[in-house]
Amino acid sequence: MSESDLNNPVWSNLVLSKTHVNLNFLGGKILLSRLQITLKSNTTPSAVEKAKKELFDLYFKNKHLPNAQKDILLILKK
Amino acid sequence: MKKVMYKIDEVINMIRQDKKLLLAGDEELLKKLPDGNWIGGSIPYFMTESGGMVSKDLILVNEIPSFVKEIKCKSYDIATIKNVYKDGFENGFSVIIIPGFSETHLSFAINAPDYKEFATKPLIGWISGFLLDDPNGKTAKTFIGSGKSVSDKNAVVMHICLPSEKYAEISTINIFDQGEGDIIEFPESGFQVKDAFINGKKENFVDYVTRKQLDIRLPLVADYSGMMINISFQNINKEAKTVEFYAPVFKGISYKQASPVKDYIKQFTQLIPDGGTNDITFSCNCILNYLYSELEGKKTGTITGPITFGEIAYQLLNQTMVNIEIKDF
Repeated sequence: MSESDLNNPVWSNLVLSKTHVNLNFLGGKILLSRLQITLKSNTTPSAVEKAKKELFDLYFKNKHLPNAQKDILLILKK
Repeated sequence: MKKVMYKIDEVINMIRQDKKLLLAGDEELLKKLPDGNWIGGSIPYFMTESGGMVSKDLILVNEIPSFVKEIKCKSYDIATIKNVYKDGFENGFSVIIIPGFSETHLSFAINAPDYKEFATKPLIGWISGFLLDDPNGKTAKTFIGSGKSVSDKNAVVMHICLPSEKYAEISTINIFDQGEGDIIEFPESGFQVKDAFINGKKENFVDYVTRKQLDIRLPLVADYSGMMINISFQNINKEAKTVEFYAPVFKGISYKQASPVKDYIKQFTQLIPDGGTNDITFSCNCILNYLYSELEGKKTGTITGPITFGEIAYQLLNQTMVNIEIKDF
């Protein structure tokens, strides 16, 4: 995972509930659900951008953890 | 099986040996402890090496392993609790104890998902409490580094820094799953609700609970990307036509009531990971599981810890066991 992976549309698709991945990392599951709820009532481009960055940052910071690594592989394969 | 329950003299000795401790016990016992590297919370209910137990004479001790590089104990009030994730070590985890029914508890429960760096670092912990049938009407307490530091307002946190070859991972054991019933949503977030949308149709929630004769020992369950999050019923106020919960419901989340559980111990032990529980550094379980499943004297596998007024795995949970394990990369 590199910083350029932020440009992958999968992050936006995840937070907008357009793509589904069976996540393993507990922090990722909770954050993704919270972001999806937030975007139910506000889908402005800036809100989507902020949400996708937040999810990406969580995985980027935790990319050394086994369960986060599993999720990153699944997410980037989508 | 590891001993976790200690007499006060034994705990005082451990503190004097400069051990780093997470403590749970009766308020009056914790008040007698000397200065040292410890945080604690009031609670008289425990899951011990010999099974579920109520005690005002023993203290439950979780010792932080000696390989830990550094700890930082910090107190948070309602204004500063928002920094709890940000303040954690980059490689480590944090253990939090919040006094039950304090403003900090209520604020954390509702606002944690909006705190800076939410969920980026492992945060585990519990809500402190008191003996439910205590005639003296005590409040829940927390302690940080001294018996004199007692507070019924502030959260206490031990931020723990791990060596680079180790990492911490939070897991939960939740025997509840969403049942087959109605989809329940709420127009506002909070601990107390008046109305709900039942399959999209607005109805007073007390009327709904009464009409459907819901067993309120079973929580409402939300599916957070595959993680089941429980919201436990606290009280049905028929006069005010309100329902109170032990954790807030959130606007925008779909809930279903949990399916009934036949045998808590059997279902629980089936969910304990195959690898066992040797790496668990800290664990806690919910007072409602203890009461409703009559866990006094019964063992939940080999897992020990305080029985609490709420569990925290990144955010506040109900009727869930939370664990943190330290593993090698």
